[in-house]
Amino acid sequence: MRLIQRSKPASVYYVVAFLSSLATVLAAVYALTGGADAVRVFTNINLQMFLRVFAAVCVMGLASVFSYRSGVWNIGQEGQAVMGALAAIAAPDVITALALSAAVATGWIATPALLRVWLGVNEAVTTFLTFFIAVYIARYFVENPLRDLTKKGFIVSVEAPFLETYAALAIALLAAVGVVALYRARVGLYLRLLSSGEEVVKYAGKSPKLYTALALLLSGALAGVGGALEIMTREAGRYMTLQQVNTGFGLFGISASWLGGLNPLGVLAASLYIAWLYEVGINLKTVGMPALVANALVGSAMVWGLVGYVLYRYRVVWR
Amino acid sequence: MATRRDWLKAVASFITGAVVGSGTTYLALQSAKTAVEKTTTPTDAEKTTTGLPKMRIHFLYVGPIGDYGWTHAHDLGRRYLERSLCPDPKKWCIVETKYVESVPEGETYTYVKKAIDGGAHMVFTTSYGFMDGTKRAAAEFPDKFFAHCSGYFKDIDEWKRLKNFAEYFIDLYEAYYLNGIVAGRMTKTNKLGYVAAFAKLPEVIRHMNAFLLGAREVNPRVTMDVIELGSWYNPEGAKKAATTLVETNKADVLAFTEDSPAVLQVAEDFQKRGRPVWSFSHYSDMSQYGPMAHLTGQIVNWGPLYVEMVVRAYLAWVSGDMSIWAEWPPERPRDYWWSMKQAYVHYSHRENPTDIVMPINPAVPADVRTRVEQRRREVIEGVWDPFTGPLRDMKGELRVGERLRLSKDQLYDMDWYVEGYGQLP
Repeated sequence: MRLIQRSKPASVYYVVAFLSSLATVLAAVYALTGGADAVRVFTNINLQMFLRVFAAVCVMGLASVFSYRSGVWNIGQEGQAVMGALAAIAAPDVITALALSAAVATGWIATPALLRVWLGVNEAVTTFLTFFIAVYIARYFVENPLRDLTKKGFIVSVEAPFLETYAALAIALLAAVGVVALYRARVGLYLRLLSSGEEVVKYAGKSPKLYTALALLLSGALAGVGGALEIMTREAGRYMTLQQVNTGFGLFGISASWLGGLNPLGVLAASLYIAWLYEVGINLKTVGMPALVANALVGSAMVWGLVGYVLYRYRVVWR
Repeated sequence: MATRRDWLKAVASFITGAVVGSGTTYLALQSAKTAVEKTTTPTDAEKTTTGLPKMRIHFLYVGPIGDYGWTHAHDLGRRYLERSLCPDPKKWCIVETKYVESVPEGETYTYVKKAIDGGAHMVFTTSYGFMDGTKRAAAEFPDKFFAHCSGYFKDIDEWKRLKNFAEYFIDLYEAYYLNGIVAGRMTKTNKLGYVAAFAKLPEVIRHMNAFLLGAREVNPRVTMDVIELGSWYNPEGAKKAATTLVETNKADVLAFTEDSPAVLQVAEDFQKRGRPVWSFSHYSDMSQYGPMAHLTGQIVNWGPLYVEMVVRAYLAWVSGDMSIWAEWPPERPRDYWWSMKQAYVHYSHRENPTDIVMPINPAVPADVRTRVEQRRREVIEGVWDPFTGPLRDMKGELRVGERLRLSKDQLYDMDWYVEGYGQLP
């Protein structure tokens, strides 16, 4: 079996991948529930929850697009989201929270970005590992400066300001439009060129280092906003505890970006799908399935997204 | 644009996906069937022959049920509840339970609402991070019952408003104190070691302080070193911490507050190599992991407490009279704080699950055993408490005055360390 690059990429394979993923999910849920509860599992949607997951995953997905479209590998969205959420907790109001989360997360990814640009350190490794540092830093803040002392024996942070779900949706859509617009602009062109190799950017007369750093910083900033959106739209408990600092939405964002074909509008569609999968996962758990099944569903979507990406670019020759 | 070929591909892929998905799920289910116990009982509440309606009870867990610690213990409690109040689904059965594991703390409210949509009459939420979401749901559904583990009522107004909401907890500090007495007499190096999941959590501070107080009561030269793990379940970290405590800090009795038997296993390994290092059980009976090194310890069984609360909720539910639920237990209504006192002295945990203290290793001298038994009786009868003054903190400041004790709130909020700590994180 060999893969041969297509002369013209075939977008139809994203449809194929999506349908395959959907079929996997439908079949898996029917097999798991024995068909009896299946309809309820698919349709029992809590709209508020669905929309806030959509908004958060969408922004995380866009953050991933910024990175992967430029051929750099930020896989530490989770860590940037933790820093963003932490900034949101520290902020007095929504506007400050959003600005601060973007700023703090940008600062957080600056280390991997600069290490990559100056010393050539692999950014996939550094972004991933800085996630663990982010968790410990967040715990320090929960235990000390941001601890809510009115909560008595609890070790819990103060609450983040509340953000209406529709506002979060607006922010997510705005971010998508922003990414589309940016990719139309000249800066966006160089960012995209980067994935064809640093030489290409160099021949275009630009510094590949600058654009590599820019791709990572933009990616980090959006992931931070995603983390802030997630914590601020919760219906109750907009705080961090020691044991639950991160939420896993960063990883869903990575799934959304691949399933969405690294295209901002594709990410919008894929995020809708993943938010629905998340609901399906909750419903599966509610009818007594192990929690891992819920994550496996989103994971299967990511696998199909990668299959779609490969088939989009390559032709499979069997002999 | 899409040609006919493309459409064929799409259809074919859909079928492939369906086959792959159902096939792998089927295989996974086959292999997991033995491991994953199916707990979903039929949702339609048929009448039993006794004519009593079934109350549907839903549990929200913070971790997976297989974690061998906190969530595992709660799930054992749930099964105990079902065994007690539903021994025969056709004849005598008044409850039906379900659970959801690994619930994110920020999504509590959504999960509780889903449970109620699914027909639950009562919801137990078993992590402190679930408190706000549970209270919010309790205010929204006054005809359902809610119980939250390890939280508190903000003030008396909240307590009055949320008549359908209860707090509950089982505390183990008294058992740690008894362990401490054994530890103080068994140590040869006068150095104790403690592996703590989070050394600043009031619950863990309470455990550590009680343990150290017990040890220093019988052996004032004892000091204790603490290593923090930073997570509830981290067997590798716990193993490393325990080994460090023994080899570097020269500790020979190890206690712990975390969710794995790793510390006891380390002690057992040292015992096998001829070096006497001792440890305990915590949260469940771990003696099988270290038959030689196991001194005593504490187990927690939420079952009897669940039965107690559910029986009250059930009676209020069928009668419509809230007081039978809302005004109990009399000393602190809707605020259950259970501990070693819930069992009388002659129980053993095998005969009565409310007993939380494990039997003492035969290697422990008889006079220590007598001392432990005596203190245990005094605690149960209410004439003694580990935190009886005068007690000073590490800086020498008097924290509990002469012949005074601590209130529940003072115990609950404990943020100071007694005298006698060596290394603290």
